[in-house]
Amino acid sequence: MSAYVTKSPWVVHYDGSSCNGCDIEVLACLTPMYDVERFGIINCGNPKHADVFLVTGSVNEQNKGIVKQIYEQMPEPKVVVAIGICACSGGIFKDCYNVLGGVDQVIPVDAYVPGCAARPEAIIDAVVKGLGVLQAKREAMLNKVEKVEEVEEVVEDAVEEPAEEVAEEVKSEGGEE
Amino acid sequence: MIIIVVIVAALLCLAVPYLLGFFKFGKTILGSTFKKPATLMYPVKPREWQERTRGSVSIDADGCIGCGMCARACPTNAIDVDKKGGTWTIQRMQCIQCSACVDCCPKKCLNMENLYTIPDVVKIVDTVEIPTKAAASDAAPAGDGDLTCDKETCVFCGLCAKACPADALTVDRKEKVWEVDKEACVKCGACIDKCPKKSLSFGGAAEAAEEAPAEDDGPLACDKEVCVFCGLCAKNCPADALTVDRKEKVWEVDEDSCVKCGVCIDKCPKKCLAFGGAAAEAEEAPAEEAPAEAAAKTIAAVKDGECIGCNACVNACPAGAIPDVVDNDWKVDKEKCIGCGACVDGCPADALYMKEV
Amino acid sequence: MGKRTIIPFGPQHPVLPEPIHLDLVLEDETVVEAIPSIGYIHRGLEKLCEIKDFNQMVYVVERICGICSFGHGWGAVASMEGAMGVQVPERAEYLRTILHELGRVHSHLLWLGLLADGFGFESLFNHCWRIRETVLDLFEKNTGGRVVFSICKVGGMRKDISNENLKEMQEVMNGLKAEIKEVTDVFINDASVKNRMTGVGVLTKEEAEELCAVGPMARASGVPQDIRMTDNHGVYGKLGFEPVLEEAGDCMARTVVRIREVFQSIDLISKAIDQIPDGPVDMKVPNKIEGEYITRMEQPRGEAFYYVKGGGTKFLKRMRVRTPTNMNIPAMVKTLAGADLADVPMLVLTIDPCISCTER
Repeated sequence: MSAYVTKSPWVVHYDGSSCNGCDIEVLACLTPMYDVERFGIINCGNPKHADVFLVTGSVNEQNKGIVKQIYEQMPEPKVVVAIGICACSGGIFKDCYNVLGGVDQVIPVDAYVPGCAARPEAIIDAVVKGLGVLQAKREAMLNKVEKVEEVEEVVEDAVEEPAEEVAEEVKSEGGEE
Repeated sequence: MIIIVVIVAALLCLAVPYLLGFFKFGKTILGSTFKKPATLMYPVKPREWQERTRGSVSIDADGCIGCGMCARACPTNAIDVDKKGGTWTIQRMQCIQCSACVDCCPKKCLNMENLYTIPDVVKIVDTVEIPTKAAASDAAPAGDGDLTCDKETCVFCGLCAKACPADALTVDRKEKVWEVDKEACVKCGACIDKCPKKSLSFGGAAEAAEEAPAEDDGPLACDKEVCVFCGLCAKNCPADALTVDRKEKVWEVDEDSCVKCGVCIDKCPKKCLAFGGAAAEAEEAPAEEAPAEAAAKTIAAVKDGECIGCNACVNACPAGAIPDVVDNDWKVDKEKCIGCGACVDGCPADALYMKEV
Repeated sequence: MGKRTIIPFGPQHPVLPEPIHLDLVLEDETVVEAIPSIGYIHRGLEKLCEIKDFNQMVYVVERICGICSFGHGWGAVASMEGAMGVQVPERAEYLRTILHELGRVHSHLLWLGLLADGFGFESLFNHCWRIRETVLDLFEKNTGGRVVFSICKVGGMRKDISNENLKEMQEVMNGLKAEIKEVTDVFINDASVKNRMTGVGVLTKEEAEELCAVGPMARASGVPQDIRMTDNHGVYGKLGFEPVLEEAGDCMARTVVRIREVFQSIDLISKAIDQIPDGPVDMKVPNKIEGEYITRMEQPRGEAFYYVKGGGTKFLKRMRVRTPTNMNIPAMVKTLAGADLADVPMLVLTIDPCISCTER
């Protein structure tokens, strides 16, 4: 597990049943105007390499399994960001017979992005918010591991201290690399 | 020497494929190496919004009457209005920013802000306190029951149905039918304000019917000495009982159709209408048959920067004195203006007023 | 005959922004047959017309697809107006035409970027999308939305666009021509791009007609099929419209058709802005819909159908949309048979698939 996961989170994107509006805004985030690669974010097609799962659109019977599968294939710690109101709650298609609702019906969601279509700025905000959650999850995982190794002092500090310092400390302690 | 050889070799490596048709994009890429980056640098630099950018809906709670038109217009059912509890609730993660609610709000208390709702780890639901009926007692008639009509005083003019923003009222003059669709009624009170006979109320207890502006003691009559034949009376007549022709200077009433509601009397800018043939005596001013000649003339004018260019006044003007509004530059033909004030009544932005010249 | 293998393609695939699943039956490296299966983003939007009134339905229809959202909104609105028998003001028709063509520029630039990404030309993808942002800025300035505009309504437009803004739009678009030419020349002239596309996935004119291909797919095979020239929607009749045709029918021809259409759209926008009359953009319409009506509309991806049936109330009885990608899938399957496995992403991309249109 890398200590730098929040410095270069890789994202995987799946289109649940969105209208493309949010998808093209997600892609627009990767292009020069918004350029999330500034934050080390790379869009990769493979869920096994990804840390952040961006879902657009609601879930239905047909894609429920696929969303679940992609989520399960991602390594821990992982964060799910629901982009656009369809992914949050079903949006304008909430009443459609083939829409089960938001993505949170199937997998746990860590950040919600409102908007129809979600603006690239909002997506950047949400991914940044998601990274906070990712860091917290990572620390929780570290805690677990380190308890076994009986390095408890660091653990207690880690909960309170900002991310970067924790990363440094863990490294100097010879913790997980 | 070696450096020169390396450079030449590198150039050749690039030039030969270029000539063969490869690296056609090289020029653009090289060019953009020296250009300023296109990146907007969000979030270091905040995004500049356009005037029309639709971000999120905001409410001016003081103006809200809890009519629920917004909740009804919303295609995603994101808005809930609890009139009794006095709350206006929006599910931010359900709103599509179509601004349908903003357009339909009869009180114009909803706004579309530029800034989007900030993403969060939970689904945001915003609840705003709105004034309840009890708090705003003088703004709308008291009572919280269903809308009722005192059929004794009702003249079935249909003005209430016209004013209803929710199309909840059905009025048939001939059959003397007045019906309210309780499901559809939003209890905004617009009908009560409009009713010329004050027959409507919430909760069944109709206010004592006020006397009509003039005693109901005869057919409607017009003092043709004073009349400027502006046609406002005919336009506002709920029963279409009046015929006015400005050019021919004709004013006629169809007594069978007239419901004697008195709307025309209220609307008449010259106060030349009355029931019973005796026109109100208010006008002792010299006869204004030709208003243009009058020494003190009242004409319509616009407040600076208030005109929204909707052209409502153009359609409302009975004299055709207002040309089409271009770029919110409102003009009036002073010669043609008859000073009836129809444009002021018709202006949705309250941008017009009457001034004396 | 070699050994047959079946390779699943999608629904989650790096070149596909949208989920479509193909079972590719391979013989060595050659595709023998492609079996598409769709339904991953079916929502059941047409059924919504029973619970949303026709004014709200416009917002729903706009969200059939986020790329050609204005066109869908216009198509639905035009058919409802037809059923009501109203004729919207001329300025509104002009504004709709301008926004629709602007939408085509944005859609084609987006697609060119995706295509470049599909064959691994990342910097070309980025430049296409950089140019596209300029168009989106125009949208945001004039309508308030980047992707979904919500400016079309039954009876006209919800907001007017001032003449100054239109003039500015004209200048920006004409200025954009040089930049677009710079990147599109790469598609046409670069040897590596040519190698990837010329002669790949040929669809002959006969096949295109037989399989009812629509839009740029058909026009790249030489079928002169464009609703802007045949059906009189918008003000295309007054703008002197000629469809863009290519004969080769391969991936390159489809790309060239779209590139030429970008420039054609800019010219149409410019012409329309020169001609646009002043006047109202909105009118009062009846509060109920009766009767049936069909509108055809040329979307960036091809011909789309909008059918509405009213029942005398403000709710529609039936609403039906037939979208262009739906018609192009048989042609895509046809071109896939016999192609190399490595060319599959190219072939899937060159029909410009819009799955969310197809499935609604």
